[in-house]
Amino acid sequence: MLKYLIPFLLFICSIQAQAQFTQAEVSVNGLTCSQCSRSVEMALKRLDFIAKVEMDLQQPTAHIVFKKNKAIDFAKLASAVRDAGFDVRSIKTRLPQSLNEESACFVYNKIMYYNAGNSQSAHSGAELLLLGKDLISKAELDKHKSHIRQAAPAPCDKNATKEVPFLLLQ
Amino acid sequence: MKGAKAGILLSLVFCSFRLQAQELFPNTEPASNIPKKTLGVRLMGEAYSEGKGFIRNTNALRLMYGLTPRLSVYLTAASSNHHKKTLPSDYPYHNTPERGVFKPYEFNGVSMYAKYRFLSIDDEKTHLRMAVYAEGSAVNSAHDEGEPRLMDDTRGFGFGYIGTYLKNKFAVSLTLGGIFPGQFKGEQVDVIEGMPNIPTRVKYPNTLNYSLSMGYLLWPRTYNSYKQTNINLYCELMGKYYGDTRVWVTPAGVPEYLVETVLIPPALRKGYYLDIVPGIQFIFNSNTRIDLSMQFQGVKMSYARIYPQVNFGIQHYFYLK
Repeated sequence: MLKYLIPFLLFICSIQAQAQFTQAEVSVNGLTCSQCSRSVEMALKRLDFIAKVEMDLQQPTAHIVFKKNKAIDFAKLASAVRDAGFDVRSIKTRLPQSLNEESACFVYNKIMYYNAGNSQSAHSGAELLLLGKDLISKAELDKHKSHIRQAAPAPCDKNATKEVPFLLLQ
Repeated sequence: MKGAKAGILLSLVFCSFRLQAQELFPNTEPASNIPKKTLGVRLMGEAYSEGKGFIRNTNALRLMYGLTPRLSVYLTAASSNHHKKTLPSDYPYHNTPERGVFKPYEFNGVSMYAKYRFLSIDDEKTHLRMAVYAEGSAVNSAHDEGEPRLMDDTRGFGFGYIGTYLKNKFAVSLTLGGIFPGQFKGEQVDVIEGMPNIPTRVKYPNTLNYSLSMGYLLWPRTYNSYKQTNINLYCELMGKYYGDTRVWVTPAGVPEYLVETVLIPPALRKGYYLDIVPGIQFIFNSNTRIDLSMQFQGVKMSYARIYPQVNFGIQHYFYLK
């Protein structure tokens, strides 16, 4: 029995490991000129896990496509925006895996992401808003305080070194 | 005075618009910084006519680098045909400012500038940024007017504050700073032929510099591509308030003495002014920036130029890996 179970479990784990963030929308505060937007774009393009950046100059928002085989680090992404001299208003991305009501968190690259809003299940690909302290400015974080319903749950993975709350947008 | 009136009129027209704000001011620094790991290269020029074909010009090459998101450092090398090796003869009593005289185009020296942004409150349509700056200069020109400028005229140091505010598509930036110039130790040619040069020491006055800058986007009306050429219009009010210049001379056989203030010409006495500087800016590919502005006399006048003065700048960012 074990002969079949272990490869099966390894297969399941490998599927989990492959769960990947594929894209993000990063809205930036303080951008008032196309040259400023270009500076943000160039700062984002320095990150090795970003495949493509398209700036919406009117919003202004960076539409980012991630590389498939690289670890995505949202803190580095926010830091790149700050390096260009601006603040992050919001980071929206999509769930790399499904969540159910009981298990409101997942671990990606040793970071635990957990649903801080109302308990609900969500399918992989559902849109979410990241609320990490090192991701968006304190002023922006304060705006979302009233939507936060839950504290961090028990870690999904004991090896997680950091917690990032998020709100599901669907 | 025609120039001044035209300048005021042009400035009022420019300043009356209220469109999208721009803070890439042609002649003053905003509180924002150069992005981290970005090298900015800027070529600047200023020119004015002294009549009879004499064009005075100053040129500078500025390298700007974003050390951190909040700290930018600049290195500027300047050259001009504003100075001779010696001060004008009969200085400081006459010939100041010395107009219509050939002066060689020479390298003036280098200066450094650092700007630290200490406050940044950004929102989608509002931002308030504040920065402090410090500058130092190794320039040592035989500068014959009192008003100091660290870039090309005098050695010394300075520091100041910049506040830039943007709300509802209107931007305004205020700069307040102090300049603490050093001394120039040199000579002037004696008016009596055959006599040795007269050692002369000049202490340029401590100076308050101030500016109020406004800007807006004329084109495009809506951003949709980096390739759109941006046309920005600006209106800057720039000036300085300075004290009396002190001059010590040592003619042959006479101990060094300080020239009494009542004997020095207006260009070396305490004064203040406010120039009006309308400008236009073109930004190509959201990077290469060309600034053109014209400096008109507003309140009082600067003795360090003849109005109007034309200012030119071209700037490009290199985003380093």
